[in-house]
Amino acid sequence: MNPKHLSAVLFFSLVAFAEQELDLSFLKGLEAKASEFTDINLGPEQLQLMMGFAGDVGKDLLGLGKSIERVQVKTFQFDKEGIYSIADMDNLRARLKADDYVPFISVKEKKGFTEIVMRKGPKGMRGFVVLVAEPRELTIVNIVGDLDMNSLGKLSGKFGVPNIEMNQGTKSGKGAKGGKGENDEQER
Amino acid sequence: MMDEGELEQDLRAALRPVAAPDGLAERIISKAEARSRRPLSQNHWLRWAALAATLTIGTFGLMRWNEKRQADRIEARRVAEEFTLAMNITSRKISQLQKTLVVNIPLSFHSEGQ
Repeated sequence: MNPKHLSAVLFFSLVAFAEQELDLSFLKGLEAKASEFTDINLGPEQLQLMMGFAGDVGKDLLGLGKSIERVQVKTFQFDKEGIYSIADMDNLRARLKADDYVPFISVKEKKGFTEIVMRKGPKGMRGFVVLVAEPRELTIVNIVGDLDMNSLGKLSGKFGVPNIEMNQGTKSGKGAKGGKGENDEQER
Repeated sequence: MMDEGELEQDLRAALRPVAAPDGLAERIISKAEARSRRPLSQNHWLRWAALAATLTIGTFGLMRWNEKRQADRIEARRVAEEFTLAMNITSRKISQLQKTLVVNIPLSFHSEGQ
C-alpha cells in the first residue's frame, strides 16, 4: 500500500476510534415522557477546550479530563413504570456484544438489569459503557478514553462523587465496607 | 613645441572663474525646496494612515480575541460542569451496583480470611 494511503487510513481509523460515540437515536422522544432528563455529550473538542482553562476547571478534574476523549451520559427518570420497554435496549445491548467490547459486570434484576461493558483498545481497555435499566429510571453512560474503574474510584469524595471502593486483589473481600455515607447504611 | 609658460597660461585661461547666470542659485534652491517639501508631506500622511490602520486593526483584533476568549471561558466552565455531572452520575451508578453486589454476596465470603 502507498505510504500516503496507509497514513490516511491510519488517520481516519484513529479519528473514528477517538469518536466512539454510541448511537442512542432509538431513545428519541423518550425525554418528553420523562419527569427528569439529563443529556450530556462531550466530545474531544469540548474536553480540549475545558483543558485549556486549567485555572477555572481545577486540578483533579483536569487530571481526569486528560485521559478521556468522549463522555456521553443519558438519564431518564419516570413518574411511573412502563413508560419504556426493557426490550428497547436490546439493540444497544447487542451492539455491545461486538468484538470491541468485553462484558465486565451483568446483573439481572426482577424488572431491569445493570451492565458494565469494557471497551477494548489496542493497548488495553479504552473506557466503558454502563447501562442501568430500572422500572422508573434508565441510565446510559459511555466513556471513551483511558479511564478505568480504578481511575474513577480515585474521584471518590470529589465533585459530589460517592465513595467507590476498588479493592482489587485484596483478600478480605470487604467490598463497599470502609466507604462512608450510603455504603455505611448498607452495611448496618 | 609648447614651453611651460604657455601651457600654464592656457590652463589658467581654460580654468578661469566664470560667473553663474543671474538667478541660478535661487532657481536651484527653490526647485530643491519644492521637490523635498511635497514628498515629505505625502510620507507623513501615509505614515499616519498606516499607524491609524494598524491601531484600528490591532484594537479590533484584540477586542475580537478577548470576546472569543470570554466565550471560550464560559463554554469551558459549562463543559466542566457537565463533565462533573457526568462523572457524578457514572460513579453513583457504579456505587449502586457495587452495593447490590455486596448485598447479594453471602456474608461468609466477606468474613473469609479475617
